[in-house]
Amino acid sequence: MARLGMVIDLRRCIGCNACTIACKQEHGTPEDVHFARVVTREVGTYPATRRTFLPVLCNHCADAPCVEVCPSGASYIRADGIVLVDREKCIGCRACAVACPYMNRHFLERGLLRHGYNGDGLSVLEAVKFAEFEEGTMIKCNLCAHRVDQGLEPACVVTCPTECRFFGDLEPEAGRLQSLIRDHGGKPLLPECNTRPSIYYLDGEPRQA
Amino acid sequence: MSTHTAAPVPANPGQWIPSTCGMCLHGCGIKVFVRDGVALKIEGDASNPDNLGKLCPKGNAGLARLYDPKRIFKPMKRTNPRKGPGIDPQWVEIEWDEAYQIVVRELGRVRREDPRKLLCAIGDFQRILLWGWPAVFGSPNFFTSLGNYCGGSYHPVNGSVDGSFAAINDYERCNYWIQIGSGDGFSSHLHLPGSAKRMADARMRGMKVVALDPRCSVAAAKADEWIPILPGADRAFVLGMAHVLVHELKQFDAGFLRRHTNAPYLVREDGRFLRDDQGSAQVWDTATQAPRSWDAVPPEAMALEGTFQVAGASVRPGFQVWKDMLAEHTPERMAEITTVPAATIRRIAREFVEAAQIGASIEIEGKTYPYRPAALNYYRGSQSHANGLFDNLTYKLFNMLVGNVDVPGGHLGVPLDHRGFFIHPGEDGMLKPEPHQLHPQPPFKSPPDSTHLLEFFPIGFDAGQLNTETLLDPERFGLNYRPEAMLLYHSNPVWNMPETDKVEAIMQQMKFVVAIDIHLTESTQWADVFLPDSTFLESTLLNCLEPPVVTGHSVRQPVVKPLGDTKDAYDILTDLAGRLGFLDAWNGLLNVVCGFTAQPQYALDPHRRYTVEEFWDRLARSIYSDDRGLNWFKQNGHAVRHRTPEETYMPYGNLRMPFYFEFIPRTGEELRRKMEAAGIAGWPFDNYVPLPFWKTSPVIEDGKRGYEFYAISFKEALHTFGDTVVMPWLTEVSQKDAAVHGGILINSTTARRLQIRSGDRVRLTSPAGSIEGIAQVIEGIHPQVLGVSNAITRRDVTNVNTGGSPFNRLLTGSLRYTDNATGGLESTARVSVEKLDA
Amino acid sequence: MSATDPLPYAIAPHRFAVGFTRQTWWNWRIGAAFFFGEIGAGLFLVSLVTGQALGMAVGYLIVVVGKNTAHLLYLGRPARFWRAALRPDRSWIARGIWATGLFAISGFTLLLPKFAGIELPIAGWGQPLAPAVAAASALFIMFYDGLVMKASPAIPFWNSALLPVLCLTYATLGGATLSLMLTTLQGGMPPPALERLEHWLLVANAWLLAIYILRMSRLEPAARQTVHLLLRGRYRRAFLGLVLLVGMVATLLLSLAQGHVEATALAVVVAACELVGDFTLLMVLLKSGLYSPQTAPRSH
Ligand SMILES: Nc1nc2c(c(=O)[nH]1)N[C@H]1C(S)=C(S)[C@@H](COP(=O)(O)OP(=O)(O)OC[C@H]3O[C@@H](n4cnc5c(=O)[nH]c(N)nc54)[C@H](O)[C@@H]3O)O[C@H]1N2
Ligand SMILES: Nc1nc2c(c(=O)[nH]1)N[C@H]1C(S)=C(S)[C@@H](COP(=O)(O)OP(=O)(O)OC[C@H]3O[C@@H](n4cnc5c(=O)[nH]c(N)nc54)[C@H](O)[C@@H]3O)O[C@H]1N2
Ligand code: SF4
Ligand code: SF4
Ligand code: SF4
Ligand code: SF4
Ligand code: SF4
Ligand SMILES: [Mo]
Repeated sequence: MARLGMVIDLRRCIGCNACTIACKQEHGTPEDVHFARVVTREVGTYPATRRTFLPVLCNHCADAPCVEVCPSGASYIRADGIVLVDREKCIGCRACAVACPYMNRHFLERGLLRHGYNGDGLSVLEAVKFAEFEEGTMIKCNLCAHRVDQGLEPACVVTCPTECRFFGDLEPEAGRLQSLIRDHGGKPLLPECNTRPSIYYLDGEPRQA
Repeated sequence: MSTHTAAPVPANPGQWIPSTCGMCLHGCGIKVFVRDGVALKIEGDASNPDNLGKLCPKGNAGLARLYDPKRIFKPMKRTNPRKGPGIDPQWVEIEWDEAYQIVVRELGRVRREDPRKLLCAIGDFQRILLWGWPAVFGSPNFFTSLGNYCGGSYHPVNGSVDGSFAAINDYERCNYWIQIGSGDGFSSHLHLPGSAKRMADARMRGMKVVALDPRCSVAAAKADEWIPILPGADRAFVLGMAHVLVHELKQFDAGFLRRHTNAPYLVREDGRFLRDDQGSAQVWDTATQAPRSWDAVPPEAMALEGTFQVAGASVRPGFQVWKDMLAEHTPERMAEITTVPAATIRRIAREFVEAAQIGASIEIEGKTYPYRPAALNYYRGSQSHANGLFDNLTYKLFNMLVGNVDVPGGHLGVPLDHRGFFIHPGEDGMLKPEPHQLHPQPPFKSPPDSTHLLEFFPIGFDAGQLNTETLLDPERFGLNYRPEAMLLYHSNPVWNMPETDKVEAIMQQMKFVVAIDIHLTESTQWADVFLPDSTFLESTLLNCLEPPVVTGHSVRQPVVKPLGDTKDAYDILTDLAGRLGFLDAWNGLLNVVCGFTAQPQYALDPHRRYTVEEFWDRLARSIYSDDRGLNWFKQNGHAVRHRTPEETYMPYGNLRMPFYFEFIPRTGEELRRKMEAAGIAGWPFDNYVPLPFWKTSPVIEDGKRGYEFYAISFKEALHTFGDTVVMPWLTEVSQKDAAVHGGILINSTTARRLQIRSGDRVRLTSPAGSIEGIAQVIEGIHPQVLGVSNAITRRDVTNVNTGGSPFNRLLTGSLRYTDNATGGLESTARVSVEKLDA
Repeated sequence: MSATDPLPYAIAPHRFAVGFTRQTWWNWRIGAAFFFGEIGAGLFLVSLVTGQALGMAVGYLIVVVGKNTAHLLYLGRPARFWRAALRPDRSWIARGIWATGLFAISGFTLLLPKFAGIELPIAGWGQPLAPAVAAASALFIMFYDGLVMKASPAIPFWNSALLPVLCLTYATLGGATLSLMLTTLQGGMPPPALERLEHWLLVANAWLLAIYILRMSRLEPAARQTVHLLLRGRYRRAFLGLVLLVGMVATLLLSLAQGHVEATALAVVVAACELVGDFTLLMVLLKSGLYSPQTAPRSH
């Protein structure tokens, strides 16, 4: 069985947030909800200073604490490893959000879908996109399951200007993702949380100034 | 596209429509998914070799622009006669017909009285072919700082070197890339998505990047080495490196200089070339030890160095002239100017020349080319200064020293359009200098017709900032009319020009302002009539603008029916031309700029009103053949392809580029004579130089008047100028990057000294004005520099928190702060900083 | 990073910044639900053991009405609350729902005869079973919220086996204090054993909390940062003032004064102090929960 995942090469990433906005338009998420985002940081003191860019999304953990704690069964792992929320089952208890060490879950507060980005009312686009969501439930990156099912790559992957996001199946040992991880010592985020993420990173810290 | 639910599968599967991104000027290929008349997704067009299916964040936000409820959807007129910043125009919606009637009444009057009374601010780069509208109206005036805030000196120098408009290093083959004050490949400038991919590929194959920037830009963050430098001092750094190459290491590409430039041409004491009786420029023939015509001596025999006596006067090859100038530009002296240690200047120079592999060659598609995989790339930050000509000449000459211009691995010209419009043979085996590419240069005239004194800049760019010199003191240059109307089209001069207060004072003088825009801005707030343009997802054009690496056109087409009652800007301008009675002249002008005069079968009938589709269809067919009209483009999206090696590498063959820019002082001399004859006194000519050197600048002088710091502005990937700051999708994200967009950026050591903390209110004061803002203390900025991201420069016109620190209020727009040869402006200001009480 | 490293991060203002991020999902409503669960079940259990019908009834109502209402008010889709019970195999929340359900039923069968005089027709073996089930489920309710919190590996400060223990002792304390108050209010004499239990529980709580804080202050940075928030940072006043001073020191001293001064008023004050400390502790535990910073991992 497949285990879909991603390898993100941080050496290439320029922190442009094209992924952030590509995801925003793909899903039309409401204000302050970002399935994809870039965590930035200034490191070092002047003049030995750099900025680091860490693009993140749901790690689609194989041992997903968010699924583990979900009392309703709304959170589940698909056969191909994608961690999803069934909005019809979610009761909005936020236990999954608390449990995710990566802060990759978003709760649709009541009233949130009644206004769009521009205050009162919804734009034409928001009216269509928000129909996918339900207030009082949890939403998260779905690894673009709807695209993947059509044989497309996730929105954040296809748009990435530097092509630093490699999407594919983590399962085959000889596959592209595993070789990238092997050859470059790829690592997931917060391995100490034992979540077995499906998103791996190559070479985070900048070469020293 | 069901995502999170069991939402019903839509009956209509929808379709992807190819088009071109219009979120910034460049124009990457896109495809738009539309279902039931709603555009639901924009993606990069993977078949377009320009952006290769990728989009930058702004391109990804295109739908938010289309469906922005704050757009203006219907023509409007002002009902409040009072105008001013913050004063509500009390707009009321009207029909197009009434709007046109008002505009035609007002502009018609102006045109009858004196068409020069119209000031135009046009900024729609993708529709550059429509920029001549003011000219056929009869006005030469350009009331905006677009193009010259960045390229005032850059474009004329590129055009003069090799007929290009912009330039970029060879992503594919460069191994050592010095990036000075530019976001190319990282955050801004040419076609970001494709450039970012090419840059990442190059870095991954081991290319080294050294970034000079006063702040830790993205380029600096990703570079192998960030060298913080004082603003405006970059030229000193590069002159220091040139010194090292020429005087210390004695490594430079003599073969290139002899064969492909005029560096061996002999220069007399008066700065002019030594010429023979036929007027042919002379070189020193080392075989005969005598001066001879440039075309009579094989390049190997041309002397580059030495001083020679000819008929009792001494002459030197242009190269030697610069070499002599460079003698005093020691790294030690340059270090004082730049704050960069001399050892760093020496080291980078050595690394650069070693990486350049002088003498190496490469075979590409069966042809052998020189191979110089080291190049210096630069843009707005490093040369939008009052001595921008000097900056640009320095960077070009430094590249020429290693022989990398327009050769594989090196520094490549990027034409506006790759059909070679600007490659012509000039004198002495040289390329003809092409400093003007956007419109023909009007001849000298006094008093000038144009309010921005274009007639006084024979090799310059439209210096929009000088409007403040002439319009607030019209006697000074004897302006014999007074502008009273303004046309704004895709331009926000109140935001983009230096000296905001003065710009507003000019707006106040206008009796009538018409704006063609998509939403309200600082500038449109002064309008009497607002004509709503359609957005890029609702309009039509063919685009080709400065793409690096590729060539060809891509189409913009409506992916949905225009929302509301808006019109395509072509239609608006054409309607106005028709109603004002100059449709014939308008069509005539389009015939010229579209090249239809050379292909009469496509020429527009002067008296017919062509629809937007008819117009672009003709252009498409005229370029690509009759079976590739607009419909073909609408289906296929684009005819963009990789530039061939022949088009990329020295497309001008053996024509030489200038090393010694003799035509510049010559042009300056001519201008001086004309000015004297016209009785204009006090006009500066000191920037008309053939070769660059270090000289002080007005901002350096301002430092002596107690302004301790420098203030700079900059662009990043999330925003196009300040425009997209009104888009919550983008601003929501940029606001979160505090170390970049969180406020006025200040170095931690400086902040400690001034007892400023993040979040404190501060005021920056320059000789021109002051701005206030929230301090953001960071590490990644030079201790003597304050950074103001464009994202915090908007005034609150659209209910989005836009920061309110209008950087340009700090800049001075006067002639003193303008490069007197190119019209380029000074884009940094000296400031003092004070902490305000909470 | 080792325990001795200085803390290089600040609290991140949002999810685009690197730093410790505060838990904001579980707010006062969850705090209230946990609180009602703990003290209600505690009171019920203590009253069951000491044979206090009123205490049982009050405890029962606090759990069944108080806790459940708070939960329902909190849920995004309250109408689907029943779904919360679907995954007892892995979710402590689901187990808690089951426990609360069992508690509601078994408690009901115990209380009905006492207050309505109705004897339920329960088979013989049901007679001893009902109190056992009620006691067991009450016990479970008293500590499972600690397990709910512990089940989030994301928040290192919560990730300790001591947390459910702390919940249990606090719940027992709350139950004991409330029971004492109720007895006093009814004009009865509180059993001395219960008073002693209260004192010992206060001491035990202080001791457990001290160990907890000490252990956490040696753990990895996010937990240390929470300790910092509690002892010196944002929650210093709440933690030192309300949890320690009011909830422990004042409660202990006042309860030692019991028997010396006017009993009813004092019992109310003691209970109030104790409950304030109890609720504040739950709230600061929730609010000071911090996620570890995510930094770009380095290859090799
Ligand atoms: N994302 C994005 N792309 C754009 C645009 C945009 O608005 N946004 N605008 C387009 C246009 S019209 C233009 S002109 C180009 C401009 O493209 P760039 O030239 O790349 O743009 P800037 O950010 O203005 O300037 C580049 C860098 O110069 C630095 N800088 C400022 N002053 C100095 C100095 O004195 N010396 C040095 N060494 N560096 C300095 C700034 O910190 C900044 O990092 O981008 C084009 N592309
Ligand atoms: N502080 C500061 N000032 C600067 C710069 C800077 O970086 N910082 N950059 C300088 C440079 S390099 C340049 S080139 C100039 C650019 O300055 P501008 O040309 O003024 O900038 P834009 O934001 O591209 O365009 C102006 C307006 O066009 C409108 N517009 C957008 N889309 C459309 C459309 O589809 N149709 C129509 N009709 N209008 C539209 C928007 O209202 C926008 O405000 O600014 C210069 N000034
Ligand atoms: S789009 Fe790619 S390069 Fe840009 S921030 Fe995201 S991952 Fe990095
Ligand atoms: S990253 Fe968070 S939300 Fe995603 S699977 Fe892992 S624990 Fe769950
Ligand atoms: S919020 Fe929804 S998805 Fe998350 S744990 Fe609760 S029921 Fe499951
Ligand atoms: S995979 Fe899809 S949903 Fe997840 S971050 Fe990328 S674009 Fe967003
Ligand atoms: S660089 Fe400009 S044209 Fe290309 S995607 Fe970004 S906004 Fe659009
Ligand atoms: Mo520009």
